[in-house]
Amino acid sequence: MNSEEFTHISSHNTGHDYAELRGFRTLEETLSAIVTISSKHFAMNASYVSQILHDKDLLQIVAFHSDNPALVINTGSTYQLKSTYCNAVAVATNPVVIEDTHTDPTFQHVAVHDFYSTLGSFVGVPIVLGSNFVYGTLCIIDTQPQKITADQTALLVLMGRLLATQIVYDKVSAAQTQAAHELRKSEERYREFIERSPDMIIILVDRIVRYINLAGAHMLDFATPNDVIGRAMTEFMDVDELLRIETIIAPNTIYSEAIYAAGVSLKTYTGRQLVVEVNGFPSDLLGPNGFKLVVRDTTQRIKIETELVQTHHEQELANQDLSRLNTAKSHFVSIVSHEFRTALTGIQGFSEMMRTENFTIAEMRDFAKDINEDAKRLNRMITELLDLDRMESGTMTLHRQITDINELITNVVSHEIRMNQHSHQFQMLLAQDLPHTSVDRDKIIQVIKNLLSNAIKYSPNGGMITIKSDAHDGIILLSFSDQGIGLTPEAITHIFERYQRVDSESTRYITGTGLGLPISRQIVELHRGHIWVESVPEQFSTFYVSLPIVTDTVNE
Amino acid sequence: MRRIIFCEDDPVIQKLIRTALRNNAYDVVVADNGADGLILIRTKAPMLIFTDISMPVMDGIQLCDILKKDNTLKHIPIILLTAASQREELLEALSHGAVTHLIKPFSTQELRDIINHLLP
Repeated sequence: MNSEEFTHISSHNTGHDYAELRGFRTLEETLSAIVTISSKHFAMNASYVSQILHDKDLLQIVAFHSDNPALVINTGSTYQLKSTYCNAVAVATNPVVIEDTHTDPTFQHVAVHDFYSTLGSFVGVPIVLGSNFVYGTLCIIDTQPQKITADQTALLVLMGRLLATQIVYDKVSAAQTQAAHELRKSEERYREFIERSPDMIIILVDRIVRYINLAGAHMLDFATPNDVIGRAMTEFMDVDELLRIETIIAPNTIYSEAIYAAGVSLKTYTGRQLVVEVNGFPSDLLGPNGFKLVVRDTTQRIKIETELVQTHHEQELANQDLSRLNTAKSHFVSIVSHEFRTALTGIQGFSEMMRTENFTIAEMRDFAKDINEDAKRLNRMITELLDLDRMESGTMTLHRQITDINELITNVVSHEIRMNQHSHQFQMLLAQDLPHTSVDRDKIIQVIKNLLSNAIKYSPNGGMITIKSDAHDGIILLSFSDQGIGLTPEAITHIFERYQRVDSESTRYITGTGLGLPISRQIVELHRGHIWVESVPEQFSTFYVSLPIVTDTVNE
Repeated sequence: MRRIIFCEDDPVIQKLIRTALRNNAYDVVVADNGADGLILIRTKAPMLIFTDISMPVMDGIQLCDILKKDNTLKHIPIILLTAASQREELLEALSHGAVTHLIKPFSTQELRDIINHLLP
């Protein structure tokens, strides 16, 4: 505040005396009021309030009032402390009262500033903050010597103390204001962090939402935090889940550590199910039932993670399948070429000799028969390969006829017994009243032949081969049992797949393309039936075929 | 008489061998598998052994292993009769002690040539 404003205030308040001191809020208002009042109660020209800048040994005028146009100093102007009368005031315990500067001994030997040398009289009191800090001075001055009463001096002392109180109050309140401002700024900073956090930040007391940030409200499908505040957390979380989090956090309260719980289920207002991670902070301020939680929505992340794991797993399985198929395929090619070459050996060898050597007609016919058999064997293998391809690609059709399956079995078994010498015994347990059913005869004969020749092939040491037929619940069930080398559980899982033939030391010799079982499965499945095997290694294998009983002959 | 033992399970190939060698001065003995072959080898002291690889009961590889460990039999040359088409497979089979091999389908002349070469 400059001196003009100060004068303006004082002239306005004339006649109100001490009442002017009431209701002043700022230090400037108090200062100007005091200098005005002080001047009024002394028949003197002017008054001022100074502040001593202790570190610089300067005196600075902070407020001034003058009724004498000739006696003017500016607020803000400074003087060397030692060149002022205030230097004495600052160290005095009593007011310094100089009625006539020309005769008073106090400053006779002091080289005062020009301004002070113009003064005729001077009264000054120190403004003491607390017990002993001299803030500055309150002084009354006149160009002429003046009489000063004890009452006037006492009033000035009072004014000085009033001023001191006001200054202290002002300093304190300024500090408070500053502190409050800092706090507010700091709060705003943190509030912004919390409000803008992409995670839900929520405060619960007795399981009631007392605070939630915007992200939290949105996570729960509410528009604003106010829509959520006051609601029970049990609306969004199972009591068990909540209890789980509370019990994790509560025992650790004394450590004031963040507690972490993952995979927590959360149900939103609209019923969406989320999977969240919860970081919980216990709070002394909120009491034992108060919790501060940071909740992160991990639904999407977990979904992606699960998908990735799943995809990875599927890929690994697919890779394993491919790798297995690849191995099986080259194994298959090797077996097929082995079979082809074996069949070709007789054809090539006999024809070579017949071409270059002399044989009887009977011998020639005998060799030609062998060549013919091997050629048919080759053709059969090629047909099998092509059949399987056609069945697997779905281009094979069935030519259904009403058929007595028992008759097919009897024909195949008796043909086998007639054509080959066997160390096996054959037992047929066929149901007498087996219903006739519509099947592709040639295909079913192929299945029976395959299963029978397998039973013979895989029991090289002979033994009983049992063929059964039965019907129940609209199904015909056939079984082919041998007492042979059997199958391991691992082999059973692959035996009906193409390219798979159980390979081990004990089966290296087994001949055939290994397509019998895959072909049989395709044929049975084309008839909407099933084929499966039960086996114990080194004991037995039993192959089962189930065929639904069909009475119409519509071809498929 | 110079005796040759064949271990071969395919009946047509057995017959082919017998026929191809019947006019030569060899005693040809045929076994259905390695196990039968081993008994014949021990009792009939052949000068040459031909063996198929894949046979029931005892295959050609197992037979080679047993013969090469037997001091009284390991000097008898073994020829593999094989339909193995892959080089690796063939080399593996030969590593069990056979002197050479004949790949199926083989020429009867080739069969005779090998025998004449090994039994001059």
